[in-house]
Amino acid sequence: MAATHDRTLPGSGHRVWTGVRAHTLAFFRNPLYLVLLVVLPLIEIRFAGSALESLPTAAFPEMDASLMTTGRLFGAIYATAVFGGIVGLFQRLSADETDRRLIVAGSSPSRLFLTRTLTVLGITLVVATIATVALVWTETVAAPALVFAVLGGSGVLYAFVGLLLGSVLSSELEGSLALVFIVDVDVILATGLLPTDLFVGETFPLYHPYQLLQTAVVDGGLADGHVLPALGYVLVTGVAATLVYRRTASTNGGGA
Amino acid sequence: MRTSHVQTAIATGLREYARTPVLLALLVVAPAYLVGLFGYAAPDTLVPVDVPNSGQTMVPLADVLTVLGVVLVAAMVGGLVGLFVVQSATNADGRLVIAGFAPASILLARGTLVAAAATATVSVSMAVALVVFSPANALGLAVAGLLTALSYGLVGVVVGTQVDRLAGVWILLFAPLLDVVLYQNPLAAETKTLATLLPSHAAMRLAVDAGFGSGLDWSPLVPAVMYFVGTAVVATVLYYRRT
Amino acid sequence: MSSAPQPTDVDATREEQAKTDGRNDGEIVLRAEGIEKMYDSWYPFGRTVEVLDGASLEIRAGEIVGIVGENGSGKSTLMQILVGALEADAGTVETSGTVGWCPQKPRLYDRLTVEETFHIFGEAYDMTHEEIRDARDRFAETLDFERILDYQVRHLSGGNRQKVNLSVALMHDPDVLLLDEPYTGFDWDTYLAFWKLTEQLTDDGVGIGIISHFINEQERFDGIYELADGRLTWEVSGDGGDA
Repeated sequence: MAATHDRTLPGSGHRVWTGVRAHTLAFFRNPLYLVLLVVLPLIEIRFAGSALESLPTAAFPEMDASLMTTGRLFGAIYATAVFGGIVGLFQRLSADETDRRLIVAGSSPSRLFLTRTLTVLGITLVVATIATVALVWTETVAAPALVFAVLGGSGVLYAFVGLLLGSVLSSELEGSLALVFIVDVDVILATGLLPTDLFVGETFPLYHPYQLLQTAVVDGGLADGHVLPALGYVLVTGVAATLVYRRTASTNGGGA
Repeated sequence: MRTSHVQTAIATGLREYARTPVLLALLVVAPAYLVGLFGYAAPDTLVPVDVPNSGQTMVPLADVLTVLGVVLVAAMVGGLVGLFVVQSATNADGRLVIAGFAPASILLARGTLVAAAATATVSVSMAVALVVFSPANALGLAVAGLLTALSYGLVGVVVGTQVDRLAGVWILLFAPLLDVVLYQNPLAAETKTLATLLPSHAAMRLAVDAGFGSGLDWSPLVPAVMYFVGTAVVATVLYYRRT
Repeated sequence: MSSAPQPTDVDATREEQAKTDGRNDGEIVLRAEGIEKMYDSWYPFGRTVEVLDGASLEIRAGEIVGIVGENGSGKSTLMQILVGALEADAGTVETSGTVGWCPQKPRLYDRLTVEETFHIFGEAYDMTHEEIRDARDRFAETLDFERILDYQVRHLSGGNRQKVNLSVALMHDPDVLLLDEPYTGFDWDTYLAFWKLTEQLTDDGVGIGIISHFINEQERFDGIYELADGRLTWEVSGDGGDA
């Protein structure tokens, strides 16, 4: 008679954690990624401040902070948003190839989606941490914890944008092109480098997070009237990314 | 290097582009979106701009940002296309070299693809820019855009031979923004030393002069072309080693 | 790489050895001597992997040799060195005539059709249009992919992609064929068609080297090279090569 074995299977939570851990380790085992994660935000923050300092203040009458500070905030929010967006995009595209096999093997698509999303969010929060540290190092920051929260939220927002683009465009080049145009215009508008009276300036995703970031750095608080809209954008992009991801993730990989 | 091989490689590359409708759409829509938005949303506030050979001139901010937009778009698209052109085809290109194609033929073909994307992007950017803005010398602005796109295309090739796509995209998203928007910003009262070393420096000088100068001085074309040639040499060596 | 092996005293010794090894007396069409290859990481904490450490092999006209080894033993690396896709750290490779290479991963252009793929590789092999067409039709019939000639490579199943991959390696009637896992994804009929094709090729004097995990069909091979610890050891097959 065959011996019986205890076949208590790991719970869903454990499996998700195993997947997140595996994807995250795979990401951070690339030394070049580690270097870029640290170096690029530092460079962006440091040099953006230096570069904007030489612009005429008269051209930006609506700017609340000094140009140097604005430049550093520009660098911080851009670095976090771009990293989040790219990681989201590439994780979604790699999921298409590898997760399909797991689904065929019996894994739940929802669990795999959760795994990928948590991985992306985790990496994004690491970037937000680095950007916060870099900002604190170069600038007088009134509320570092709030700065981290806002940068983290901005990164998460664009991580969802990246996941969405990966689901819709299914290509690294096209996804990257779309992402760069979206995020560059967004940050330029949000920081006031393109000062505009038009309402369109307030409709872009990073407008409210940037206001929050500015007050967190300068005043130590969160600007009134911007928290809920910022959270709203995160929620909307998150829901959209989830729905489109689930819809486009499929097991049909056959060809002619 | 055979002419027939070059022709075949170019035709093959263009065919691959033509079969990527989303990419073609992005090459048209994205530049139109950015340049159009910059020109439309920016106020007509007069701002001081240092125009090469003309001195400080007061010009509408919207026009300044339109010029900046043309150069920025060129850098963004050129860089990413250069990266992906070298990354996506390297395995197949390597096999083609073993089969008998000269690496120079393939490199020339890949360069032509980058040039085609650059031309398309700059054409769309200029078309949209001309709706909102009348540059002093439209040809000069277009040439500046094209040079930026080609230089960044080569930067993309260099980056693509050294790092993977994720890292390459990170680098090529940061570089144009830092270079064009921050360091080459036409509103800057002074030119930082770092700005003179970056790929779009000379092209931006040409662009500003073409946009607002009274008589276009083509001399920035010389350092711009030299930068391009230097990057081309580096890109060629690295591409040869990779294939 | 393509210099014809010259007769030497070493060759006389080899002829004797060949008789002892049970090999035919055909001309040596590919000889590799003392191949060394190490993968070294430039990160201080990276791993250095010595893949090949003095590997030597010969392939003679009209014979099929198998190359086996554990996963990660360096078989694909060896093959890439033999065809010139990778540079060895040390050692020499000599071939007489043309080489056909079927890599493990199809290195093809995703957005070209099967027909266009034949065309571009045929051009690389210096084939005329008629020769390319004949080769395309011949392999499409033999390996049964006539109905997918106008499909883009990216739309093909794994098995059909492999058929195209193999055909591209064979289309120019090479003197030496190096195949890395050539029948991955083949259905049974195509698998049999492949072996029939190889019989014809060896009858025509082509020397074939195949990396395969299915060497349980040893009677199809004239002998097997086993790659272990960076070196190759020759073993005559059970039936001496009768299919």
